[in-house]
Amino acid sequence: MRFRFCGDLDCPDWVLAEISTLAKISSVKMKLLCAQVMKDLLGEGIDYEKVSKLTADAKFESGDIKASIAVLAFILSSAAKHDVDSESLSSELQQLGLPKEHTTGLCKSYEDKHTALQDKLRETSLRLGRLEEVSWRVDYTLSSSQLKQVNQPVVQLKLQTQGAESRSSETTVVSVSADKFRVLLTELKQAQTMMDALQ
Amino acid sequence: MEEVDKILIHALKQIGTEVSEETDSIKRFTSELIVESVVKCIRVIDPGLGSALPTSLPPGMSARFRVGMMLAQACQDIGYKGEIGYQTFLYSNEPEIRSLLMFLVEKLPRESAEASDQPTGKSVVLQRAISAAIKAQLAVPWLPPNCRLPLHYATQSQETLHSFHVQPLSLPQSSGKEHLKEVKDYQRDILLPITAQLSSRTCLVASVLEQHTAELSAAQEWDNEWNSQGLLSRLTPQEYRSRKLTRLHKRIEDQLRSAALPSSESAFGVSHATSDLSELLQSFSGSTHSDHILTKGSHFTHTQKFTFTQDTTAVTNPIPTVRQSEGDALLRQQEELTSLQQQFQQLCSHVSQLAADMKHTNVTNAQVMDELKKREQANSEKEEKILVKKKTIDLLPDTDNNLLKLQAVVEASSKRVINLATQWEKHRAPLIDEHRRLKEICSTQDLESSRKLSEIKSLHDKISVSTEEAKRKEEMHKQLVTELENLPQDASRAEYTQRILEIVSNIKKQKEEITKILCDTKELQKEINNLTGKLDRTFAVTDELVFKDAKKDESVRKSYKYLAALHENCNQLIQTIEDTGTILREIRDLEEQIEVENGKKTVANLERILDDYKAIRQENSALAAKIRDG
Amino acid sequence: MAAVLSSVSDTDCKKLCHRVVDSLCGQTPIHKQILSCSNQEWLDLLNFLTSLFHKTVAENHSEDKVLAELSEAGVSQSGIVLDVLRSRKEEIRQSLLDRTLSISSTTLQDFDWQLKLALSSDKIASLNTALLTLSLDVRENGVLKPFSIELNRKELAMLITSLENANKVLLQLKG
Repeated sequence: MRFRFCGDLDCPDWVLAEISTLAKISSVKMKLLCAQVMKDLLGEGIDYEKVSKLTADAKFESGDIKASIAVLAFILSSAAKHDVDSESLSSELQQLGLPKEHTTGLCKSYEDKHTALQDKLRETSLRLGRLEEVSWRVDYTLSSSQLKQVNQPVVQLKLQTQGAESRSSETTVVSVSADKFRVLLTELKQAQTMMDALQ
Repeated sequence: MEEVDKILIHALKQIGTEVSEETDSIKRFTSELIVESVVKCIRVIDPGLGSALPTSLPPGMSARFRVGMMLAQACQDIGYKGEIGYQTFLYSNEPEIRSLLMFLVEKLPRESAEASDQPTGKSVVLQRAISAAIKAQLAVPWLPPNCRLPLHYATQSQETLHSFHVQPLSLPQSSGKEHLKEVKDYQRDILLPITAQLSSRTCLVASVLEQHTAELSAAQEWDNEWNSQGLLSRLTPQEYRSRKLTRLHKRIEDQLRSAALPSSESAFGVSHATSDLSELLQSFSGSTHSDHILTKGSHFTHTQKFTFTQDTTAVTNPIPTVRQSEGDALLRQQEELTSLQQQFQQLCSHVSQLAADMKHTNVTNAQVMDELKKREQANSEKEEKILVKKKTIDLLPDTDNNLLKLQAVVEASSKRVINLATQWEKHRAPLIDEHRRLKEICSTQDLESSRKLSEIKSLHDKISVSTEEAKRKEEMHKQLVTELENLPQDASRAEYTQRILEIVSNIKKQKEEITKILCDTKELQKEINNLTGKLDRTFAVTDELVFKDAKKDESVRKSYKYLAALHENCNQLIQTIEDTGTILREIRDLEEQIEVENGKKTVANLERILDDYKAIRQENSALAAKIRDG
Repeated sequence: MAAVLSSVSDTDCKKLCHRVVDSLCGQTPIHKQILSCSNQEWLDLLNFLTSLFHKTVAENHSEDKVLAELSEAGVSQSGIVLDVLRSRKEEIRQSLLDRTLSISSTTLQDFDWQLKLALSSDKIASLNTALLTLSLDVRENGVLKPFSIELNRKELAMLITSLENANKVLLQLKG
């Protein structure tokens, strides 16, 4: 069997196994658990005490709790990744053996946060460096040891960036001659028009 | 019907139904094929609805039945009005299937690529190009480095990647103002071609590109500036540039001076640096032409140097006397320091006092000068007065004579004055006219020039707008061309229209024939009516004549009887012929009906229904058995 | 030192002078010996010519002053040197401007950009985001240091607006 929410691939075995674990808790609790996991996926943090309270009825062990959170996270993020609509997700989950009430609860919270989740995923996709801030200063050179009368403007450019690997930001300061600066600006504008044409 | 079937099959093939070559009409469609094509159509029309439907019939009979029901429901949802049910799919008959398929094919969204608006079309084209490129790259097998052909370099080799490095190029400037002979000689004889100027070949393209961009952007920038500001200043480009440069220099100079002054006043020790700066300023302003500022600067440095030398002489004097004992050194140094500080303060106050004094004296000096000037003026006035008085005294002795003479002189001079005035008037009038005229010309020229300026501006705007538009249109044209190329090469459209035209003309011909036949029939009917009337009238006349004679003659009576019999028989004959015609028509109708019923494959379908019914019963019993067992 | 120059033929002198200027402008750093003289003399001559050209352009000396410096050389040779100086003054000035700029600790040597369309990522199947990779070659204390950064649309717009503002100031400062 192929499932759209798994990217047209077979469902992983562990997910299949843990879906039966999920079926043990009530559908209302399951919906609340879903909300918690969704919060975690959206970067708002998860409340583990609440989660353990929610799963107390079903007498879950800590392993079961972890497994259910993992499987919910997998289902939600994978469905959002492959842009599956909630109806298909519902039918596919039912095919995998999740009870209908559970499925509706899950799909409801998925439907509500679908776009937010996708935006979050898009935002957290791999990026090789980000620009945080640009500062500049224009100097006017009057004279130098090399040339008595220079009278040329020079631009000092400071780029504050976030590196690819580290979250910490680094700064690069560079001085650019007026000619080079003009070429740089022209080229960047060209690039911008091309970029605009792409979307 | 053949044409219709062909068109339907073509449409079905386009949406991805696999119709084999042999099936050339709807008649040959199997149930599986019907289900598949209907589901495909529904999926294209409404993806949400179609995604739940299976494309093939399941093996189980009850499942088949369910699928048929679902399909029928889906078709009704889309808006099919005709009769439809599971039997339409499972026990198909040709006309129903044809009408259903025709309905679905008509519902298919037409030419989706063209209908979608511009941006999506563009991105679709791009996506298609990307997928094609990736596919092509994936199709190329990996090869070890020394087996690679140029074709593979783009995707498999790393050696060809050079980073973008630029080196300065020396090019003859075409825009150079004066072409000196030496420059020309150098460019002709010594200057290497740019391919030989660089140390590595890889930089060449990069250097040329960058040089080009730099020059281009500079020209554009200048163009922009000139159009926005330069034109309005009504100067030639050179004048505009030089004026901007001098203004800039002045501004920088002023800023530098205002920044340098307070700092140099507060600390004398940096006078070296400030003098350096002022020297720099001198050289800087030397390039421009502002003499008054220059003198001011030198005056300032002069006073600086003066105070500085005084200071140093005062400081250096005590130093030799102070090197006696080391223990006292610190104390002495402190003492010295305090004394020096005192001295320094003294000097400072002295300097400020002096400066105040100088200001004061300057002011008094100016005042005195003013007074002097006033006095001098008064002096000269008085001298003039004395001169006049002296003359009158000289003239006093011979009063009468002199009076007369004076009167004559006065008269003459007044006459002369009048004369001069008239002359002046004479000259003045044309001059004033001239002046007015010139003024007018000036203002008209001014108006003209401003008008032309605005015209030029609007022209510039127009040019930029048009170029923009041209660019946009070109882009669109390109995109449309690519889209056109990417469209499925469907020549059948023309074929279809041709065929449709043919059909239309055929129908026209048939219509003509029908009207002809109708006319014939009408004519025949008329003739028949005519003949019947004639017959009736003839019979009536004959009947009367014969009846009259029959009263008299026995043989005639016999013939009358014969006549009556003949008439009756003929009537019967005509009736029979008419009856035969209606029966023939009925027969034809019935035959048609039989054909239609035959088309419905009722017998075969009934057999199949029976079979299926049996199968369902079997399934049911099997299930029941299972339940019992389980 | 200029005396050595007088022993050189006119064509050789011209060639030599142009090569000295070339090396001053940083195009061709090494040049072969084309004269027949001792190594020391050769080096001295080179230094003399280089500093002569440098100083003349840097301090904007008049031609008379150059001629005074060249008094030891022959008349035709000094004429040739002057010719070379006149024809390549702008070029020398330009290279000196470049040198002035490179006094700063970090200067922009080269830049390059690439526009990419990110199609998909591990987080989301259809990403479809345009990204611009801007790579700068920064010369930091004489060492080339690559620096690259990926910009999305928003970041690029930010960079361009801030560069535009700087460019406005630059425009005022340009003659």
